[in-house]
Amino acid sequence: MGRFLKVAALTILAGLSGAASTLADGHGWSPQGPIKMIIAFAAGGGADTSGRLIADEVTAATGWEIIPEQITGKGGINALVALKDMPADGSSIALVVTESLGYNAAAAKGAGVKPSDFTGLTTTAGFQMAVVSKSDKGWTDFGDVIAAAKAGEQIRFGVMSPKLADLAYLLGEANGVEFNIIQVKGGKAVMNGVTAGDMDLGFMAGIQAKGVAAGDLVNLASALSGPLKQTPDVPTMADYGVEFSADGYFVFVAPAGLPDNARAALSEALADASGTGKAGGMISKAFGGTINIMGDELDALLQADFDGAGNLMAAAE
Amino acid sequence: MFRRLSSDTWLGLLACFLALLLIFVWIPLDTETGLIERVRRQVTLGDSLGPTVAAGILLLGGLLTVLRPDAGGRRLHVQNWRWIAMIIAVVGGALVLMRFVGPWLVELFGTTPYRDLRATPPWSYAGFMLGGTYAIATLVALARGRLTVSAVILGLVTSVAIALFYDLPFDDLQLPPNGDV
Repeated sequence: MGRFLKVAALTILAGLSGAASTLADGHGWSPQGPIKMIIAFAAGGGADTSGRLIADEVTAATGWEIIPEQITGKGGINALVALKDMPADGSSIALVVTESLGYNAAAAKGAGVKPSDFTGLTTTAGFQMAVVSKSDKGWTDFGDVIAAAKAGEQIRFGVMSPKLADLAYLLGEANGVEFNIIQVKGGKAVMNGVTAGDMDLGFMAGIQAKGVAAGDLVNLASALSGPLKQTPDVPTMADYGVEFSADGYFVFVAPAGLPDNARAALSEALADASGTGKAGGMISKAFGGTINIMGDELDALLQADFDGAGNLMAAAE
Repeated sequence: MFRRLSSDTWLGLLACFLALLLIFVWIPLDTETGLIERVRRQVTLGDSLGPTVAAGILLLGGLLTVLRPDAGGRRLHVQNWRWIAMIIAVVGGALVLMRFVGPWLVELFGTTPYRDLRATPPWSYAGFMLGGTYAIATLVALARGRLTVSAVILGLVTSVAIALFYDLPFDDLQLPPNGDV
């Protein structure tokens, strides 16, 4: 009897331990080695920082080793091209933006990437994309910019992607003015340009939050389809005659063909990490909070962005 | 005819050959856009502009060297060619060792794929250590004319020092070839 109880107790313990291990591994999957996390953004910017903090949180929660690596350029296309042919076993993921797999993939000449080449894992945050200027320009909303341009002032408009260049062009066209559109690498470069006075205004995706809070920068218009979280009273681009928006999200993807259990485990770990600890705090401050879109909903979002890119390109021709 | 060419002329011809190879073969194969791209009103620099300009400067330098070689320059002898070939062979061999020794060792002694062990010592160090030691020891041996134990020790110590310098303080850096496997 004593032996039976001992065996039964051991069996129960083994079962519990197995179940706990399975839960800890997330859907029975864990990586066999380190995970390469490709970051498509310049080192030191908000997106890069969020990616690295998420990596730290995932490691703290799961013990998985994550090695971040920068592959920048072409609005995330270089990162996606590098990721596309890596093994679809969960050992390689990339942090890009939905625009990379949408407009940028559709517009990039010869890039050869499309949403079906990748497995979407989770979004981490939405852009807080706004048209921003220095407050000492004296502009309070985008209407003041249009008035200044109509009065003959040459307006230098900083953007960090071809899609935003099209939106800046459409903003001018809809209001009967022409901007000098300057494309630079990354939102940080736009902010530096605006702060230094090399640009009069520019698109910023959330990096402006501290400057706006301090009164050094001003959100002139929301580039989203809805209001900005920080300054909800600011008009949207639709109010200035542009039907398109710069809605988008930071998103983790893996190569196509990732097994379902690996996809579920990675998505869950990254989503949890994006709302936890320093990562959650940073994302909340810079991007207005964590947004996790996963699974079929994310697949549909990425495909819709890719399919819809043609409309904006046609409008801006 | 070629025997009478000076080393300067050979250098210039080599630079011209490499520049033309870059401009007409490598750059077209490895870039997606031309010199200047015009995308919906915006003129942007194409992928191939930077390397083409660099190759153009290399070609110009090569042409100037061919057209105005050093008057007192020496001619190349068989020994010079042999030396160049040996250096290329040593460096090439070192790169092959760096790239493949880790995976070979894992295949021989392990059961896990090398990719999963690329951040796990000692596997992660194997290729860099052996390739680095081989490169330094062999180059020293070439210069001295004989292979000595001290050259091997120097190679080993230097490789260990470089590996530790990069690997210990920086969590996110990987030694070659581990970032590419």
